[in-house]
Amino acid sequence: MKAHDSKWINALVDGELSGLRRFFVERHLRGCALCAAECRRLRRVRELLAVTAKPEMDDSEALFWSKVKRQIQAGETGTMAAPEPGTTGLAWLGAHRLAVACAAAVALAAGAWLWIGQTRHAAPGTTVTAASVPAPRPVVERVSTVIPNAVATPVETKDKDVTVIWMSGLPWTPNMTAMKTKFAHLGT
Amino acid sequence: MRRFFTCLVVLLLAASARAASLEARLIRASNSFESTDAELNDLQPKLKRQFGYNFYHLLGEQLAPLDQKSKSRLDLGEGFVLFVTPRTSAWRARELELEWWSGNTLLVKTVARVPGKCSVLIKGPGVGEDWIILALSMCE
Repeated sequence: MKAHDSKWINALVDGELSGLRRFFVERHLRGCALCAAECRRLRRVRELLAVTAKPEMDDSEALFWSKVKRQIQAGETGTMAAPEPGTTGLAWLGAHRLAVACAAAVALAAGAWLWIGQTRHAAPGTTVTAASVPAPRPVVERVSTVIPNAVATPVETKDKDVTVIWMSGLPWTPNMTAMKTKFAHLGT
Repeated sequence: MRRFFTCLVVLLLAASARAASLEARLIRASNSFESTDAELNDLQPKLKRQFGYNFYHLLGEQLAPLDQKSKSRLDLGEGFVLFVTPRTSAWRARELELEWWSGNTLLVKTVARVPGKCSVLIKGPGVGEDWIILALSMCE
């Protein structure tokens, strides 16, 4: 070790030395009062830093590091760009208070309009329309049949405006007259 | 300007007061007919896609007004009867309770929400090589 080189003392205090290098530095410290004092001072600083609470930061960790990164990049290119505020939600909201308030108001109005439109029961004879919204397809909420062994199944089709209720298991008849007779006497 | 607004209000009120109705058509699907009835031209492509038959014959047609919440009875012919009870109207769809009877037999009972210009097709019993189909379309 070169005499009184604080680089090695720092490395020792930081626990970065090992092996022969560590041995030589420690041996030097045992024989050099100046370096031993420097080592004690560094250790004391390290202990103080360890027990002191972390300082409160105005920025989030992500924003802080983005600022650091930008400053480094600006230092390399010679220009300084403003840090992007988008990395912290609160900082961004604070900067765009008016825009956020407007967006929230628009969203609330749209939600209220949709909610009122969907829950409103029109008076008899009136028509509720919303030309800008695409028409929904027919929806079968309940379907049933009382005919024994028959099943009624709602089927959504490729046609957006058509829903099919498929009844299977109904009695087959050879002609319309037989069908009328059959259903007249089915007794459901 | 005042007249313009008066006309606008009258037009809006008239548009909102249009009565909706349900068109019920009893159809026989077959490959043995020579052509599809002209009354079913609007529905023929959809019927062909859903049921596969080439030709469709209209057996009966009725219109059920939906301006009252009372039950309507539609005699569709060949002993088929449809009962329609309007329940609610929400946004662009109407909720209807439907009962399709043949003679004294309840074929199917359903509750469906049908938006304007949309159709519900019910595949009914088979007759010979044909099928009986009930087509319900909302008219507004």
